[in-house]
Amino acid sequence: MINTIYVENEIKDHSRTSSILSKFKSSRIIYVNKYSEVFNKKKQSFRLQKKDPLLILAKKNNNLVLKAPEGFGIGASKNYYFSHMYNCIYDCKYCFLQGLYSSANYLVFVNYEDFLNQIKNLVTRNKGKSITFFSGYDCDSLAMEKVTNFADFFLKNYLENKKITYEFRTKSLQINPFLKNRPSENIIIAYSLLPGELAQKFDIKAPSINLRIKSLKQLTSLGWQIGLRFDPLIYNKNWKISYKELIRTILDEIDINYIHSISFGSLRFPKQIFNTISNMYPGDELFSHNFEKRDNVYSYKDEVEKEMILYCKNLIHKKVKKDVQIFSCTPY
Amino acid sequence: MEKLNSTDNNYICEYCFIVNKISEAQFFINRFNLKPKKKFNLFPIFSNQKKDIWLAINQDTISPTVTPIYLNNCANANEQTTWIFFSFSFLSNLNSPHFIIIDEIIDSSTQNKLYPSVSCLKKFKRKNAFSNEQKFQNQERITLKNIYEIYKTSEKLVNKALIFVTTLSMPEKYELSDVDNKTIKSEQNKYITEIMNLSDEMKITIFPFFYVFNFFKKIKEEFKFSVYEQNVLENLLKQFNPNDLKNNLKFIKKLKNGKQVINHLKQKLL
Repeated sequence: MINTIYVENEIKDHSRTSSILSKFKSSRIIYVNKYSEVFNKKKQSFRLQKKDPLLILAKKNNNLVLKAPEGFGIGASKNYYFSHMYNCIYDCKYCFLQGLYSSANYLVFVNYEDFLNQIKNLVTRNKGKSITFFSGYDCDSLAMEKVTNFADFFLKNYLENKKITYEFRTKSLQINPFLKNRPSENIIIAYSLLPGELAQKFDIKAPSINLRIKSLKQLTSLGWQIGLRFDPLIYNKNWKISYKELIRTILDEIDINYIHSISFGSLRFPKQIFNTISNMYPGDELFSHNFEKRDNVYSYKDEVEKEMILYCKNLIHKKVKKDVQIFSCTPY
Repeated sequence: MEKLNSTDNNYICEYCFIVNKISEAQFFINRFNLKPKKKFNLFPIFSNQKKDIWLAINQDTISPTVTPIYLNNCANANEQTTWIFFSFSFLSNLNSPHFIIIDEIIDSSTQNKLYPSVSCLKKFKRKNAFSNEQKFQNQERITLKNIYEIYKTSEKLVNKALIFVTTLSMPEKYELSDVDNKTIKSEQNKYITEIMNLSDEMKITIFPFFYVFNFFKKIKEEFKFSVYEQNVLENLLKQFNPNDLKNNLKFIKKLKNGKQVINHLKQKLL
């Protein structure tokens, strides 16, 4: 239950603000001039706020759609990402958001129309080029759907264009908007996946892997394109058995004809974020394996990374005869 | 003015209280057996014998922005110190005293606002407060003298979640002396104790490494360890989740010697 909601004065009369507030009738509402007065303050504790997160409703004025980092893509010539929300209701131990913001409060930008306008502008500016727009970089795309209705709005209003792909990255089971709408070839619902026992340890508060696979099955049965994101690949002594089992289960359960793409990326953190997160979990198993620093990024040793990715790719190739696109995600 | 912290700073300041008046300080002085520290002569400063609890009383002649800085220096406070501002306030719509946490501070003259952290404060009643003594026609507004300046300075010193702006609001028609002293004391006792306990819990989450370090120090004081055993103990503790350590503390205290402590911790890690 969200106990306190901060609302930017500028959007206090916005219809979406009213709609969201109506879902939290007993919460205390505090009006602020700028969300940054609450969200960006220094000397806050991310871990403490994660125990009891608050909600901030705001308007995003600039940088609504940004260039995706190098190595973040699924085949298009241009890659962009957008975030209608910062932070996430899940508490995955490896998540870079923990080291990115000083606050763990949920920040929702209610001006969804501006995100779509910006996307349209970019499509016009890059006429004829293939572009992927990613949602779910600074948050989980669907986890707060019941509150935000963002995916629902997006599916009703997005720009249809053969050259454009939109990816909703998620671990959530909130797939109702997709069940209600007709499948589109331009939209991919991509699930982050870990072997069950690792997900139990590290994907805190996120749905179990079995439930995520159930959602994937449901989506493919309706004809939606899906993405399988084995990112991060996490090393432990049984990793080969665990990933073999995971990949087998997924490919046995879902209709593989609707796999748009598969990507792999090993566990990796920019230096600053590694320091912040590893300090949050003294003695945690996640950081007990050897990391090495390459180009300001902490990750497993090069040979470990390569072995894990190659092994998983081979497992996929054995099972999937269809010409599925497979990608490796390189550091941020 | 005497040089602060020149000697005798081998203690950890856990709590700093700031009040505006001696009447607001009285409860803390009695409860924690605080004694005036006469060597600090800019403000009335009090501390207990262990020097882990400190209190300052604002003075009208000095800018309130100075109070947190001065107390911070006198108390040798650090970023893990809990700061509690306490004041009485009066509201027209109350029939009995209410303890309130302030989550929005408004400077009445500029209308600038500050937002104290409300992490983990779900259980408490909350309101906003104005930062001067100006009389409002609407007496449902809480006014806390100096609070804007004090909070603004304090938030630069410590983690924001560890600053608590609190007030005991009383029915407006009463003067402080009219309200049953017992009621006031019991309200203050109940809520201030709750906040202090809560802040201790919060510190484990905010500063997990320091918790482990302090745990190590506590255990070292209670049991005898050889130098080798101290190293083993330190390395063992580093592998623990602070919350697991906390849950083990009672059991550990019952053990007879350092060897048993080390064996117990090793067992727990298996």
